[in-house]
Amino acid sequence: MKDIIRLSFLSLLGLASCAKEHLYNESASLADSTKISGVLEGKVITSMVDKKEKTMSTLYGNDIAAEHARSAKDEKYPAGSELSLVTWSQKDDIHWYGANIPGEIKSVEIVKYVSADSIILESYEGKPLQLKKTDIESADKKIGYITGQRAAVLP
Amino acid sequence: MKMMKKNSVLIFVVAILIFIAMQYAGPDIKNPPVTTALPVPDDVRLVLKKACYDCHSNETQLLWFDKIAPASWMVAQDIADARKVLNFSTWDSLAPADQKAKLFEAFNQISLGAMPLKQYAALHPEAKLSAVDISVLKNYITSLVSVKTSDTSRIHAANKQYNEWVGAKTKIENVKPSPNGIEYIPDFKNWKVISTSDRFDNGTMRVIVANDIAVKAIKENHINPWPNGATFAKIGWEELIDSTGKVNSGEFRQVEFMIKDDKKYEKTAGWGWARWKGMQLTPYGKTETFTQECINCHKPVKDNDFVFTMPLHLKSK
Repeated sequence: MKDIIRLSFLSLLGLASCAKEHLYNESASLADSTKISGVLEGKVITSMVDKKEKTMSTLYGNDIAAEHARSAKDEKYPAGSELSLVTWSQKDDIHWYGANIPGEIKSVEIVKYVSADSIILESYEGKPLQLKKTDIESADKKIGYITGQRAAVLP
Repeated sequence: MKMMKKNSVLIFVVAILIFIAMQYAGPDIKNPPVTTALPVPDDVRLVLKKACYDCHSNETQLLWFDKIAPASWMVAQDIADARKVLNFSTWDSLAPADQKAKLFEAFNQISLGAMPLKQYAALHPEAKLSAVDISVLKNYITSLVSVKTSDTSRIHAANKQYNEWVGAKTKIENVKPSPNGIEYIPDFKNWKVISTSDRFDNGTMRVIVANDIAVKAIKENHINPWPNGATFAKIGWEELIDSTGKVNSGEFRQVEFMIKDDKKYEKTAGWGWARWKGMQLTPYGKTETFTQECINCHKPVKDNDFVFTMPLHLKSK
């Protein structure tokens, strides 16, 4: 009897966590313990999709970076700007056949403007996300790609 | 005792008379002319005919019990409403893009179990779709999707829009309210992102943002139902696709809002709905009844408080 009660309690718990998974996109979120979980709270600058790789990305900016991206065409972000490119593998949207939504986070790349000509790139990859060493050449390329994205039009 | 018997006989006779009279009153279900043959493969047409046509076409085939009042009055109302939303008999009155959108919406209504309506399917079991029927529809709508490299005219249009917008000193003013009285909320640009969506069914990219009340609810795990004041904006851009399959955001198309207030918006499923289109931010809908369209489409997710989006679980303090 006790076992039955325990079993049904466990299955109830199971149902509850199932329900939660249907409410939130947990797999696409950053774990609590991640130091960089704040990147998902920046302002949207733009978003991209790679149809071949089946990935989708959102470029976020802090207030300074978003303000610059939305008001200037150049890539000269002011000191204090911070841009974060978050890339997910895509998954089917269970609520809408016809849409792909973020699946698991593949990488987070953060560009920080310490001063106008001192730029830092932090690259996180893997599961769990790990800070990864990047050589100067590919870091330059990545920074060029991220800062070269123009803002999506927001009237 | 005799008196009571007499009374009940009288009541019975009156009830019968009323019932007979009812059969001559009330709305009549007519089948207006069919203006088009639906241009879909035969197997698809067969599935649509058996599952949808009784309500969503001018080829309604009623069973005997559908024709008995007062049930027939409800049937007539259901059919009238259904034809307004989607009518396969007047299919040619829709633009090709709208036809595709209607098919995807219909498919999603079916696959999420919202259609055919439960009360209809219970009495018309032949209308229920089998797994094979569903895959016939899915294969067909999938065949309508084409991922094409954007041509230069689309790129030029996006560049022009961006150039006029970026750094514009004058902001768009005097945006007209939505027909249901909801005012435009320009601050959505500063809200937090809760999801993105790559809509391959219509070639658009969406970013869904939420205001502080909604974000707080996300962090505190109170999102079903969402608290009053929670507001979302879904921003849509055309997808610009290059020859290697990389997609960037092109022209801004529209922004749509859902504002939760279970009292103020009680009549519209607890949400205020609004949409503004294009850089002119033209409010969508001719009259306030446009919200019926929103609710119909969102009905399959009524158990999620009518919200399609499964938000990122934002956590940081």
